[in-house]
Amino acid sequence: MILESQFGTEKVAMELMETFLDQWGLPKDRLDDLKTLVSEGCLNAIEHGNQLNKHKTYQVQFGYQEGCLQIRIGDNGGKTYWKRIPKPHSIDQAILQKQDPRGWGLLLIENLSDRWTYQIEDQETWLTMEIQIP
Amino acid sequence: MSEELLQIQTEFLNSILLIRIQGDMTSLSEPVFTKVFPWNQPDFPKETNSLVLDFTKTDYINSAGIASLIRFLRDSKTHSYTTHAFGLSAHYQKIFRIVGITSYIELFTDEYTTLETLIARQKAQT
Repeated sequence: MILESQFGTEKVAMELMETFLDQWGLPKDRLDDLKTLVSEGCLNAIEHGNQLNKHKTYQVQFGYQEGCLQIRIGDNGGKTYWKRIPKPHSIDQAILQKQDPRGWGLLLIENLSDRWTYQIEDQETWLTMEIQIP
Repeated sequence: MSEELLQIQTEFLNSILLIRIQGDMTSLSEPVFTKVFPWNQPDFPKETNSLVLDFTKTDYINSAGIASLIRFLRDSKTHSYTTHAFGLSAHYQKIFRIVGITSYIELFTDEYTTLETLIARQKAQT
């Protein structure tokens, strides 16, 4: 699916995750985790990859093969993407040392997925998240 | 599909400020959330020392919403308030643990348990 780079569009992708699981007859015990992965991946694409440009779009793809659910999200950030992702501090740094309170998306992706990678090309970036669902 | 805008209601009970949060906690909700910060209100009762967040009607919290919450906790701690919460789904309790927010917010299961515990603690201190 292709979505506009506006906050709120990630909820469309989140809802379609449940439909995808239904179509494949997959269990839903990790549905909330999967929705959060979709949400955070989309938000990265909207805010960092596409810099909140409403005229840009991002893509969301779901796949399932041999016990592995794959979520892929592509934006137009390209090679400038990595420079713009806020690096998460620890919660203690954020609260006690008043460091930047943002940047938790990648931490959530790291903890909720079994594997995740970025593929960065000149004009686009693809985030791939994999979750084992037997 | 658009975001469900945040709506907040507040209630004072003894020295407790109860903040009821309804809607989505995202980047767009921060201005609304910031308004209820007691340290931003000149008429706020000075005897208040505990802040309780009611997440019963909060269905969606993303990482930007978590950042808003962290700013709240940071200021809360600076102003010597204790912060507590109830009504979080099991999923968001897990999210809070992953981020580490649970080190700065005490989580309860429901409103009654939250308020009874805080009131009992206040009585024990007097």
